Amino acid sequence: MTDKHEHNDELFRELFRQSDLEKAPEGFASRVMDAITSEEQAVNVSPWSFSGSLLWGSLIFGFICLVVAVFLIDFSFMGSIFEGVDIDGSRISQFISILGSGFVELFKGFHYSSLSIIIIIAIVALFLADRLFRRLSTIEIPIL
Amino acid sequence: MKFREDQYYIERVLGGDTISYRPLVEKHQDLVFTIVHRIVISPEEAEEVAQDVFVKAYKNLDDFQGKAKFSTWLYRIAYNTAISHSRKKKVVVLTMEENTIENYSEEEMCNDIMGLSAREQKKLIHHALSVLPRTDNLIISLFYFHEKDIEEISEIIGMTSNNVKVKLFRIRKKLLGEMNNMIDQDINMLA
Repeated sequence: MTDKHEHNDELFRELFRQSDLEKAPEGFASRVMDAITSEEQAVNVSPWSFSGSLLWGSLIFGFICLVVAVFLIDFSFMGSIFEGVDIDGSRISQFISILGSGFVELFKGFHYSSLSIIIIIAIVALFLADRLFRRLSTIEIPIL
Repeated sequence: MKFREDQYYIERVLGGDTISYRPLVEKHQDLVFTIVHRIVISPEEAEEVAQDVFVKAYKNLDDFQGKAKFSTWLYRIAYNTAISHSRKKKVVVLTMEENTIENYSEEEMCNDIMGLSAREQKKLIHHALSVLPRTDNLIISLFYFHEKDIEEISEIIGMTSNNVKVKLFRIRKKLLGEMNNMIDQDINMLA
């Protein structure tokens, strides 16, 4: 550094020495701590929102019902349930089996070509990329 | 108030003791506020942004790996947050005319300024800083006001050390030019 620069440097040190240091406003630290405490409380409370619990409750209830229906209920009474009504029980079971096989047939006719697989993958990838970029744009990541 | 090393408080906070974050806030609040205030001019907004900086640092404390000093890490968050806030608010960045620099010899300018009273000098530097572009204002304040070295400034601002050196050289020239302009116009306006 030349003499001239050192001279300037000294001048600036002197000028800045005379200026007052900036101070954070009174009570700043308390306000920061309050903000942190309230944020932490919000984080602890939010996962158990009413709508969230309702959704999870419904899903769990539905799953339990399915398990009970499949494994615990004896459906043999279905054949005799219409006996008194003069309806042929075997027709009902036939109807149910047709309904089931129709459902399976619905997907049997659905053929995958390599092009359709690529299109499906592309749609899923675009959807995921969109979600990811939306999330990244709202989060500020500290660089260090 | 005497503080312990930052690492002591950081470990306590990471261990679940939230209250230990308070000394870290008290220790660094003035410089965080200064950094933010140099970029975000309104004091009310600066306080809001500075508060946001500390909350953000608290939330990301487990990402702090101790490679840099905690203060540098925190000041960098402060700088980035203030910059993104001013971008959102579309704050107009002030620019100083480059040609105000070239018309004067540095020696003349220094002598003129030295000849002023301490009170006039204080007002002069205050005014000259207020018309500097914000990042320039911050760089020179960190260097002279807070006596941060070039290495640390470069980490806070995210520039190379050489860039910071060049910037400092130009900012000094700009400030001298602006102060001399003011002396030429009328120093009494500052009183």
